[in-house]
Amino acid sequence: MNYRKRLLLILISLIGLSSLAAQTETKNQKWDGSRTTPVHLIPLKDEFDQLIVPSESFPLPYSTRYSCAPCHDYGLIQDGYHFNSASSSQHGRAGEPWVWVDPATGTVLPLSYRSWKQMWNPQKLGLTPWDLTLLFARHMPGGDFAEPKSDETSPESRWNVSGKLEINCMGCHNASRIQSHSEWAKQVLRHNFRWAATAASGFGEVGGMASRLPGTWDIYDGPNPDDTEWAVVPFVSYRPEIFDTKHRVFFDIPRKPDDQRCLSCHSIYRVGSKKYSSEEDIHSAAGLKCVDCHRNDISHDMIRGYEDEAEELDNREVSDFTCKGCHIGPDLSRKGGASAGRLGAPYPRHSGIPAVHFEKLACTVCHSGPVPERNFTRVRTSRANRLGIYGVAQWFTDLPHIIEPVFIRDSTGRIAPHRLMWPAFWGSVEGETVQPLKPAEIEAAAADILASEKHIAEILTAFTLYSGIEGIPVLVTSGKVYELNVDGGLDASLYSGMETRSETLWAIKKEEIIAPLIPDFDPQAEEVDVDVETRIQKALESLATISDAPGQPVLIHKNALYQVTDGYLEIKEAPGETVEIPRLSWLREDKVQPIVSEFDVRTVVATVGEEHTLTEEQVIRVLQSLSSLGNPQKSGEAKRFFYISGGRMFRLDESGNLAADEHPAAEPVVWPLAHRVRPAQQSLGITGCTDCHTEGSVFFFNSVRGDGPLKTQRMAVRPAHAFMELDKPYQKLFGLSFRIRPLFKVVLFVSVLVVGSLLLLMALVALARYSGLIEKRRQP
Amino acid sequence: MLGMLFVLTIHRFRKSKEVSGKSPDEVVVNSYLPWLFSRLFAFFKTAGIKGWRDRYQRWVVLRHPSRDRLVIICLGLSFCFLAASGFPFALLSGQRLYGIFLLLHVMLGGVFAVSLPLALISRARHYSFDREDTEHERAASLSGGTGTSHTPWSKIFFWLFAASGLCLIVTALTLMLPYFSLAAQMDMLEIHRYSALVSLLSALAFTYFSRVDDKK
Repeated sequence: MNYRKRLLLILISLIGLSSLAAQTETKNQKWDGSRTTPVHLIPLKDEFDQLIVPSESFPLPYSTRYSCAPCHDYGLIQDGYHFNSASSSQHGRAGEPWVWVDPATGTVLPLSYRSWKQMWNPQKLGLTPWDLTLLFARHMPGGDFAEPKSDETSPESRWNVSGKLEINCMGCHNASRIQSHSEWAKQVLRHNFRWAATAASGFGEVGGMASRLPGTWDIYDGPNPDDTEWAVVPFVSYRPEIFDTKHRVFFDIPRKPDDQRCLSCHSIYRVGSKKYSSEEDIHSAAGLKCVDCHRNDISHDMIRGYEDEAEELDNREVSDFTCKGCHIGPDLSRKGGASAGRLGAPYPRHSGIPAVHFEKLACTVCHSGPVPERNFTRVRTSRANRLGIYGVAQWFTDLPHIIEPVFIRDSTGRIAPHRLMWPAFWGSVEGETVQPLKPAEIEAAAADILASEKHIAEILTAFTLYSGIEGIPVLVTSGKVYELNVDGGLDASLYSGMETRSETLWAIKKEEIIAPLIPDFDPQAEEVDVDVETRIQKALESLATISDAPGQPVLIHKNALYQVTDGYLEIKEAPGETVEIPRLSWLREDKVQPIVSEFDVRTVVATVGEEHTLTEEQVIRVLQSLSSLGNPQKSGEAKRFFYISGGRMFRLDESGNLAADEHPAAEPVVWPLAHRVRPAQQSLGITGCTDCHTEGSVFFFNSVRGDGPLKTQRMAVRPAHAFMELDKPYQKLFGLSFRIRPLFKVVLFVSVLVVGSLLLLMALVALARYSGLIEKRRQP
Repeated sequence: MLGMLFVLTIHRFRKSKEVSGKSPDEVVVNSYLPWLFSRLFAFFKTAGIKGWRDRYQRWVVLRHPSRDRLVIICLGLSFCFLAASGFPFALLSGQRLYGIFLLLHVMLGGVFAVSLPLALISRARHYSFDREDTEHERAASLSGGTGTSHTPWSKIFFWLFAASGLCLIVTALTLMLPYFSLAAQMDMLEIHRYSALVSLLSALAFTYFSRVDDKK
């Protein structure tokens, strides 16, 4: 045997051995046919594939990759639909985006790695997997972009400190009520990525915060005995009672994951509804679980259940798990079929509903989501509005504003109910290229323009340090009272006290009585009240604590200027005009300026306590600032900055005014809704055709109004029929025809009676004639 | 439908040869097409307002008493529109009726449903299969009255048209009632389609046979 032959033989042997090894590995995944669930009593392994012994000092958190790996192919699971948004090229029907919400800059930006319409790819925005993990991993099951490959790190990332966010198997599969999504979210917020699954599963208690550790820290460094207060290295205290003598832990894994686990990230809340009155999806009420329809094998390629999924995946079996697959079967007009009736799905008779409805409409139009009303239903979703995280702080956000059901003709030509939100973001446009700007870039360019509420909150916070009085410091202006809330922002309420002498009044609220912080006094009096002087001094000292104050705090009244110098209240002659009412101000280089600018007051009055957080004046100023910073005259190509909100693109025109235009980037983001499926008795059309077909039908003639952080009258309005690509006059006429339809049916019925009777009569006559009966009777 | 048109034109062709005194055996096939084209040419030549006015006189005024004319016109025009809107969609687009055509189809369907029983009430006696009535009609016709003579074929097709019209109305009505399942509706729709075909063919045949033997 020569050298080449030997080499070939070795090569073939190696290939054979490796394929045998591969077969052995896949054997682990094979189901033996038993319908029981194996008891998951397994040893915990850390990220170095080492057995975790809870009694050891500084035990590491458990790693799903290594703890579950002996039986389950982690690599295969990683490619499943729940974990492949950043790596897959197969995206399917549009789904809910991640929404980057930054109220301070008015940013509501829909993001997705999947190539869905109107959603921005995070990569194109310069967002790294690290950024995305910090923003959104609170509502994801780990893996995906939160577990990047080692070469996907970015300069600002701290994966070495936080660890990677492995797939949290127990996040979905744990049947124990101790599994806590809130704990998961909190650990993510603390950058405790590698500890999050352990904390959330309740296997142990996790302390410390990776976010406070220096970027040079590494898991090999272990705990820091010198700092047990602030930069505490994350640690796990395992619950010893859950381990057996072989250091194995019982994983309470049922055959089918509980709905509660799915709902941690997939809840929908109808804004304003009470918990007790919230209804379940009819499938859940009937005892089905989410995974009864949304099935998957070890690949975790979950069936989404929409009509064209089977075609897209080239897997006909998937079509059995659509509404039609279970309730009707393959033939729309005939009962029965291979998949029909699965899980006891009733066959819908759809009595009296013309067949055209089944061609043009998705099942969800009549059966899912809220019943259409004049005002669209505002909903919050777990992922977009941060629902389901419980703690002292309020986690959920009002933004983004999502409405449903908006009926839209999708790419398949069918009309289906969708959820809709209007994007809002700052950006630049160069030629045809639109580039959103990150909130941090806007904050840098806007400086104080977007900080009006913060300015006033800072002053009120400073006054709370004022120990001389009892009560809550407030600002009274424009008939409203503004006071601090627990989040450090402002709350507004109506002012019902006496008319104030000035536009803005700093005051103290005590038992609903509002009195000026600095009472009126006569500075020319021989002796000013000591209490007043103390108040002035305390107020000025409080203001002096504000960092980045624009000057020295002073009080001006008539022609007197009060300031604190070396701990003493000093009285000087005020520069400029006299002031009739005591006025707190900043003194800088002998120039006096109000303690808060009129712009700040205007902005706060316009936005605090309102749904909108920005004014047109703010937008103009920010756009001017962006233009001056980011568009040097020497640049050849004009880069124009814009702000998108409420379906309009706002830009400065040549005269510096704010122009609102339509632009594709300002169009709403939509994705189909599938749940909550209502009972048949609550389906659209159950009370007749006029549920939709009337001349004033909300189904056809509702309007979707643009919505966003900007307070403006120039928002986009989209009629419902336009989303469905339907003709309004025709639908009006068609709706009107239903007014006379009952009469029409009577006419047809009478017609049938008359024609039928005549035909019967004639048939009898013909029969009599051809049988000779008539001739016989006529014979004498 | 083309077959029906072919049969009827052949029948008319042979009839015209009979009228001109020739035996049908003498009729040669290759003279059919020139005859057909000449008739079509003659038809379109008189397709102006005057031509249609003449036809209206011959087909409506002479045949029907004034009290029946409106009903006959409504029935004829509504039927023409229903056929013109229904068949092209079914044959050419492969889709069901939709849009403004559907709306007009339904509205004129109502006109058809009203005018058909009225037309039957006024004309049923004339198309009765009773022998004596027929002789009476012929006598009235020959004496210059409004009655006409009717061949058995015209009677058959008259009643076939009425029966298919009944099917059309019944199926249209049932499609609007909330009692039938989707499967039943699909069957109704099929019956509606085939009834429409039968009614169109019977209408063509009836029109032909009621004219070809008409002495007026």
